[in-house]
Amino acid sequence: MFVRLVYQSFLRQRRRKLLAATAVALGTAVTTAMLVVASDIGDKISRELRGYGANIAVYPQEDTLDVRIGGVNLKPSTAGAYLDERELWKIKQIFWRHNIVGYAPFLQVPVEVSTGTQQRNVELIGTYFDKRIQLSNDDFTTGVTKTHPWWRVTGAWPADDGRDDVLIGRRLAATLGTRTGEFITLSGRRLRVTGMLDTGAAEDDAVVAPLALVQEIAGRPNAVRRVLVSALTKPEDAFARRDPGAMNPADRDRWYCSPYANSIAFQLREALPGAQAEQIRQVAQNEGAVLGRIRGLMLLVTLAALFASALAVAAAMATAILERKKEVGLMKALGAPNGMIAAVFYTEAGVLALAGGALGFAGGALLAQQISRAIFGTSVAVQPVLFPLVVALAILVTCGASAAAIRRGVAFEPAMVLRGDA
Amino acid sequence: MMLRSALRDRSRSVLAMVAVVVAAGVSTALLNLYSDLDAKLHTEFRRYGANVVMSTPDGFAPETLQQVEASLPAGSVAAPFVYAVAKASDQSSVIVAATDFARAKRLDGWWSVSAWPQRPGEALVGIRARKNLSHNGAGFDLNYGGKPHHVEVAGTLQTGGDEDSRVYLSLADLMQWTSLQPNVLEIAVPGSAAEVERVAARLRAMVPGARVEPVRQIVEAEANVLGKTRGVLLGALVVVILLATMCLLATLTTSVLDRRKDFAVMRALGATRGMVHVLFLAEISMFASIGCVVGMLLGMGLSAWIGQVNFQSAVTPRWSVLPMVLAGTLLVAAIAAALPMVLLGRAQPAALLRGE
Repeated sequence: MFVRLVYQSFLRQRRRKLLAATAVALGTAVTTAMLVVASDIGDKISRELRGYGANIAVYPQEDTLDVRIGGVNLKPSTAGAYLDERELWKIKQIFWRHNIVGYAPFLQVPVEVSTGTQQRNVELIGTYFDKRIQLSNDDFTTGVTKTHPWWRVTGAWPADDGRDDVLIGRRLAATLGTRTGEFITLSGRRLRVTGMLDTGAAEDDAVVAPLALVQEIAGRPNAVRRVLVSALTKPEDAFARRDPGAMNPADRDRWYCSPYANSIAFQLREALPGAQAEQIRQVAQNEGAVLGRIRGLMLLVTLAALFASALAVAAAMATAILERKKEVGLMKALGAPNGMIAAVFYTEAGVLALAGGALGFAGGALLAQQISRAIFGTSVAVQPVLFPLVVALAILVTCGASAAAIRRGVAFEPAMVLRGDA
Repeated sequence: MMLRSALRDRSRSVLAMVAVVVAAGVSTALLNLYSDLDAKLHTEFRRYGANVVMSTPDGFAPETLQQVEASLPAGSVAAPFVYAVAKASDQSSVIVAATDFARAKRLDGWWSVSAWPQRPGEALVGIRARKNLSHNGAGFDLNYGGKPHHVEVAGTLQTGGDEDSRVYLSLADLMQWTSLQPNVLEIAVPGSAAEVERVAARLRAMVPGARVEPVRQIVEAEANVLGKTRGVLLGALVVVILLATMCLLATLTTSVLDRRKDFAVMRALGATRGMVHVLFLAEISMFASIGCVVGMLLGMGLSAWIGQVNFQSAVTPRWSVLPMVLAGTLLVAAIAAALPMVLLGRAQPAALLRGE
């Protein structure tokens, strides 16, 4: 009898049920989409924030002081210590290796550049552009294209293993009158300019070449002055700033296994003996702040959306029940107890919530996927745990919203309702 | 008549009102947040420091600096710098920089400083420089062009960048010692890439001979992150407003359909379809307007609260949002009034009254 009542109600009032189910499905879809997008926004924005470039610098421990003004190195190449290029692959072997987006080694030497007519003293910068690093488990490409995404080249990037190709800074090219494809002479070598480099910084006045070429010119095989590392990190908190040396073993493990800029720098120091690794505070510190704001914003917007969908679904459900006063009156007139009528309504609400919720979840996941694709160009992982959560939420809201309406509906005097007075 | 109809069936009116208030409120809040997002995030992004660097080989005259600063848009921070290469007692080279500490502190919030210099003669020493130059925080001597200068260590500076190898003096100290003028002005301009470029162009025209460059690293990354954030918020906004609209439409349509008996009675008493339609439309519009105003007030409050909680500054109300929301709500109300008319239009009053 009970089952038939519910079943018939769905069969007979298809339009009304469809309307209620649509409301639930829409509410669930928005909830799901917002939850999925908001839970993923941290990772996505974190990746976008890597556009600010390296957040960890590695340099030799025993090094003399840097003599750099405005990015131009004034330290003679004879002074100070160097890192060994052959050790650098270990950067990709640390505990948080998957968080290393890329690294770029640098070696600067002052050189004299001449074209047919002019001579100038400039800085020659050696680095990786998009170098393939052979690792035992997989290959990995790294270089300034990863760590300095704002570097723009008109023309072509030189090959990393080339010995004759260089990039020339935009301003230097303008003063020398050199164009892409022409040749310049650098410490007695004739080099082809494959492209013009625009960085908006000191490199605009320099010549940028593959690292191996600069090492040859400087006469320092495998020498690297410093390495800039771009890593995905977790925003710094009070725990991250603590000194690992003074922690108890459990805390130290937790610190070591959290991708803070500090702990990644610590692991880099471990991997590269004789090297000092420090977070670049301008990038690392502010990343956390900006990320926190964006994440907070999305969280609050999600909460607002959740609240709004709950209210919208509640209003739709309550309307649907109040519409059925007559039915209630009839059931009561025929002797149905209040509990029985309420049970019928609750079951109906539950079935609606389940169906609408499942449909809404699928739609919401699809919606989140579309948003992520359109904006970040990557797909988004929908956590399976969200499904029971969202459906439970849908049932809770639907039944909760129905409760007040059911209580009112059941309280009506059958005779009044049937006469149409209530 | 409209009033009585609203009062008579209170619970139904309340529910429809809830739907209107929620839809209008959420739309107002999200649209308001969205239109203020750029301003809010640009302020956040200024934590990254200067996005325009102005430099000249010969140094800026004090009047030029004042003039430049006066011309900057509100909310900008500018700090003058000058750099010199001095010799330490062991003849190694050290970069000595000078700046206005109060401004550098505002511009470069990420500097980790143990104690800022307070008195003349005190310096901020980079953490690597301190290791090489100063033993246990004792003062040391530097030499520039044959002129010695004694530096007292006020505190250490750590940034992880070039600053770690430098010694920072106050501008007055360095100018007295080396007679160099500030030759770099680092400026943080709040605003989009285009606004930053406009400021740079204006400065170029104002100080001929100076090199004015936007810091591409900062400007580009900012534009990128901001664009993505705006995109996500827009996506959320569209989805939420669409849902709110559909739910509102469904609720209002139901509430009108519910009154098919009234419709039938009026028709039976001789009212034309047009008249009944106008009556329903007027009723629902009044209803929607009241709900919309309440919703807009709540929505403004919600966006202000989100701004306060997340950005520690209230979101500026964008009044232009309000007519949009009102128009949208009224449109939905009009559709909700018209839809049942189409459905009921052909039905005979007698059939409706019989309950068919």
